[in-house]
Amino acid sequence: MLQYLIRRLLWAGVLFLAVTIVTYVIFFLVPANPARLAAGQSATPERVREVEKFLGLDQPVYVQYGNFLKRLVLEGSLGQSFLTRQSVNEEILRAAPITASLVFGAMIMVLMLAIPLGILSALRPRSLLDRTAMTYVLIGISLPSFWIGLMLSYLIGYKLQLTPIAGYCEVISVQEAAICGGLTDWAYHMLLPWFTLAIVTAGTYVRFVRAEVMETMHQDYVRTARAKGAPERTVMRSHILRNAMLPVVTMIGMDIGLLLGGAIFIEAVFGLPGLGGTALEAIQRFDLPTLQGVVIFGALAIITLTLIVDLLYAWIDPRIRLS
Amino acid sequence: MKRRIWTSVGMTVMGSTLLVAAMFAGTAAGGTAAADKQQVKAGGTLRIVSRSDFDYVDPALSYFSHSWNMMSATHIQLLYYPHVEGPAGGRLSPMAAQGFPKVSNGGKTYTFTIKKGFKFSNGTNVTAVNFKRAFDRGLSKATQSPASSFLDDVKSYRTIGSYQFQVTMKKVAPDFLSRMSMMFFSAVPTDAPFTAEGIKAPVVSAGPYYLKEWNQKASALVVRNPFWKNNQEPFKSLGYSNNIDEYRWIVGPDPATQRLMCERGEADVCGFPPAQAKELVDKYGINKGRFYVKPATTLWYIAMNTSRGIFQNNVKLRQAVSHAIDRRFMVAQHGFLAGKRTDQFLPPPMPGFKDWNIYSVKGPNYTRAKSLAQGKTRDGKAVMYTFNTAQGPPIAQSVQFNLKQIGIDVEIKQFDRVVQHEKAATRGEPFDLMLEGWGMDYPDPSNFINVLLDGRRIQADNNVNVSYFNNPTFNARMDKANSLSGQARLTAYGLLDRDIMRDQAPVAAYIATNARVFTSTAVGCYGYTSIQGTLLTKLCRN
Amino acid sequence: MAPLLEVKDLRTRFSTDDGPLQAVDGVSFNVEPGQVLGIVGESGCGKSVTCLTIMGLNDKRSTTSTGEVLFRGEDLLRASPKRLREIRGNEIAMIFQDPMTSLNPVHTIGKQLTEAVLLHRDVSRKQAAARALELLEAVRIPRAERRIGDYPHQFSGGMRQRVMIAMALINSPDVLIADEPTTALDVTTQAQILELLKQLQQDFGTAIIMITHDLGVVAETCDDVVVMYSAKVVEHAEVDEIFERPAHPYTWGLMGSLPRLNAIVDRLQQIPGQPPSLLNPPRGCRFHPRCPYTMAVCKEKVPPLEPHPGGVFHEQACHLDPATKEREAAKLLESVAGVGAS
Repeated sequence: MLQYLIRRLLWAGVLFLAVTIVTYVIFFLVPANPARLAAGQSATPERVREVEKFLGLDQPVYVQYGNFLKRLVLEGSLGQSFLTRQSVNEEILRAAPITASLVFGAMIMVLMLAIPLGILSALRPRSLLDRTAMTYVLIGISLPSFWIGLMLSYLIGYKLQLTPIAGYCEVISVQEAAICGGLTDWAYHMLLPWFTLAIVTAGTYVRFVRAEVMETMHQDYVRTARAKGAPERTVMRSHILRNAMLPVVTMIGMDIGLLLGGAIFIEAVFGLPGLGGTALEAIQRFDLPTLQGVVIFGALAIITLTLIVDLLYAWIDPRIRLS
Repeated sequence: MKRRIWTSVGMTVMGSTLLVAAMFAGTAAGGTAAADKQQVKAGGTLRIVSRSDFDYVDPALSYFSHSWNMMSATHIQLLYYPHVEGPAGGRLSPMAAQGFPKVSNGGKTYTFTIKKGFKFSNGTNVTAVNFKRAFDRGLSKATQSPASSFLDDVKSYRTIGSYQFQVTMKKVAPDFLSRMSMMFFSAVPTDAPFTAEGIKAPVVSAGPYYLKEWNQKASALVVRNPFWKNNQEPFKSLGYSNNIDEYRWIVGPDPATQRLMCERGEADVCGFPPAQAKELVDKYGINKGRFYVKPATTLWYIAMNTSRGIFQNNVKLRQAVSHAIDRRFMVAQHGFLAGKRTDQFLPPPMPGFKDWNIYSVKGPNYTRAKSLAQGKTRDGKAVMYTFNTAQGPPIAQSVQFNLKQIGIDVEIKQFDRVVQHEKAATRGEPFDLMLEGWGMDYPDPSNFINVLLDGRRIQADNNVNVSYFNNPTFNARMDKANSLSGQARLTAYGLLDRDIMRDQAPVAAYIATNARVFTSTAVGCYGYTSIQGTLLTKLCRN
Repeated sequence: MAPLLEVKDLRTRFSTDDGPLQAVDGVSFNVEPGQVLGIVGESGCGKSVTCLTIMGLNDKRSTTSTGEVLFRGEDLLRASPKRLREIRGNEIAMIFQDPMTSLNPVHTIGKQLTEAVLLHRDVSRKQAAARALELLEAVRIPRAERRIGDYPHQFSGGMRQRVMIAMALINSPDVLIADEPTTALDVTTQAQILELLKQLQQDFGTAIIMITHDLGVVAETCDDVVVMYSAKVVEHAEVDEIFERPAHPYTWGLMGSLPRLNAIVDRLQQIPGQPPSLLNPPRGCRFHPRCPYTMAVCKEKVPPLEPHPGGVFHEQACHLDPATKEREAAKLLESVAGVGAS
């Protein structure tokens, strides 16, 4: 087990390097001068050069990358934004919990929605319910998330006034400037974003759960359970689901990791100040350190979550745990 | 028959243009009158929603226009542009200074006398050292402030006693006073630090309000400066109403959501998706409350590369281009009521602007264009750079079509906006036509003409003179105009605008943009100037 | 003594996408208490479906069953689902062919055994666990108290089948249905399992229905045997009787195709052809396309299941006259001398 962990961590390190190098390369391939953007339209040439020096952009790319790595490893710092000169660490720490709350809340909704639907579809294949569910799945994975978000925001938020149109509220340490705050406000504002993200994501899960349950249903040990005289309830819970849900765990872990990198569209539509918005702005304004920060955080999230999920899977599946 | 139809069409177009122009003129003059008619309620909170956050709240570092808009309510400067619509809002006036400074030393030294009585939000008096501090911070290497570009020609500065501030220039620079109205030079406390990261809220400032709280990417709160007494001097003569108790900023929602928020009253001052402009006008009218269209000072133009290729040493062809383009179509690409058609380099609200009627703003004048282009098209090929979003592609295609009629084949190259901008700034980049825009830094015509057309400023990269126009005669005239002040200055620049555009045509201008704002039912007394933005010191609640 | 289980004219039909499929077409037999009945036939002949029908384990929505399955006089085909659940694993138990997949991989065998107990007995977990241990020892799992917390994948195939047997017998059922319990195991293990089953059958007094395609297994373990072909019973007699006087060409074919250790042969004798499709079975006797003795009547008329003369219980369904059958049977037995009931 220890050997496995060490191997995974080393591999994670390699991934980090690869991801950060690629980000640097792509950033500098684009023919634009971040210093000029940061200095403003009326900056004198001397001023632009000053800004270049200040931001370290006068060095060759590999030197900049070396400095970035050094700063990251020795100081644990991701540097400062080209644009706002704020610590990127702070910005990530500010934005990440918001994205995390969006992603985790949506995942819970997904599970509440997709698992029962997937199971019911598997139990009644080709019934009206099953066909409706599969149609919904197709729609859900085809429609763009921002369109769904805008539609819901308009219909439910604006027309029916059942939820706020957009915005984010802090849960704790609510500032005076904020127009809302506290647990209820926060949850109320998150309802539509959760729901939108859930609709978009649930589609794949319904299909997946359906396939897994259908396959498990026909396993021999399910027949054995029935032959023992177990009621359907027990057969479903203890035998079918207990096995069918194992791969779902892996999928959830991976999805959470991917989404933590920034559910950009949803955040943009609902004005949630999470990593998605941070990344988008960093790209548009050529803010390399912030962009790099988000990329690293995303990579870290995916790597960590896949590792956790793999370990979790190994733990809950005795065939892997005890081999 | 055809001619009669075209005549009637032409007259209808002219009529509607005049009508629209009259509406704008009407609002400029009658804006304040309309405000008086409404029930002015004192007090209350207004919420402004914005897609992006303030870049900084530190006057030394902030550069975004909506950050400056906020600071127009929280900070004071030596000179300012009054918060009133119409011509008065475009006239530089004393704010913290007692009248205009005394000019000496052959026009190179300015001595300001500071009015007594302004106080910071923490109770300390505003004196000369507070303005000196702003200069110190602007020039400090530790602060890395954009202000340093605007203090390039300052030789020295000092305080004389508590209430006098003196600045000596390296050479005569009459636009210096206009620069003093920029937020960089606001009064700041003497302990304002030299930090590249900028100060955070709460910000101690001397305006009628101060920034109490700033939650980055989320919200901001601006409340009254308890030491500002609106019915006493020196505050009274600034003419602020300061009806509103608090301003709150909501940061993040996209334009579509913003519009809905103002419809629902979840916010009070909003943006909206440009495509919805017509719908909003149909629903709420123009400048009748809720939806406002006000002239702003950004110019969009087609620059012609005078340093190479088909447009080098080819004035007649350049003039032909300015006759051939279809300004009506091009303006329409920016959106409904997005701006005013223009053919001149200074945008209409800019002090010094005079309408010379040089080229056709109605539609293409192929007759004139063709006769000018006769024998001047050389190899008949030109390359146009544009950006790949919004109005970029259709405008390029329009130009391509128009120029085809006069014998030029235009090849269009599209780029990401930032990349295109970068290429435009690089000397030697092989383009002939470039779609570009310029927004004013401060309302002095030199900020357009000298900055964008003075050929001596051209260098290897970071250029803003994207037509690479370098005409010694006009360079000299620009210097001369820049050395004048008062009405003489404005007249000189008005003539420069005419002569450059008529006789040299380095660019074909087509639109001076409007600002379009959507408000909730709560907002009254709405006012806007292109210099200050929404007049926060004048708004009231209905 | 009344039979424990009476199957009367059982017919089971599946509705498939290709049409109705008659998987069991008029099967009848009885099982006495403590008796071992073998059901032998090729794959797809309906032997497994017959037993699944008895247990009520077919998919309800696509299966129709007619006839009677009387368990102590109670018709299982008309019993409520609740009643069936009470009987399964308790009074009638079933073990299946593939021990590798018949146990839930994510629960310990201890848990699966105790589950079987707790479903039918109102005892505490500890008592159920104790019972589980008892059974594990009975099926001769070495160091049972240590292995009770292990997972199925930690056992070999043979061990797993023992666990299955333990699980089936844990509530002392009256009938154990064993669906090809040794087919998936190697020969040595097979012998052990059969030995075990015989032992347990004597200890517990359970009746066993042994489903198999292997006549050798039948010879080893069964008291009576039913031969099925294409959803029908073609021969039914006591084991000794059927091995001494087989009276159906299919049975002859089965016996002839057994490998023999004491004879040198070039090739194993096969029954030529394939089992017929149950969607579209042949007219008349279903075996006629492959039967070397086919007559005209075989192609038209389904042979009825009738007694074979001889004085003991022996039913067979073939149009051949008894004399021909005796003669052919004797010829067959000569050539396969050495194999048979001993």
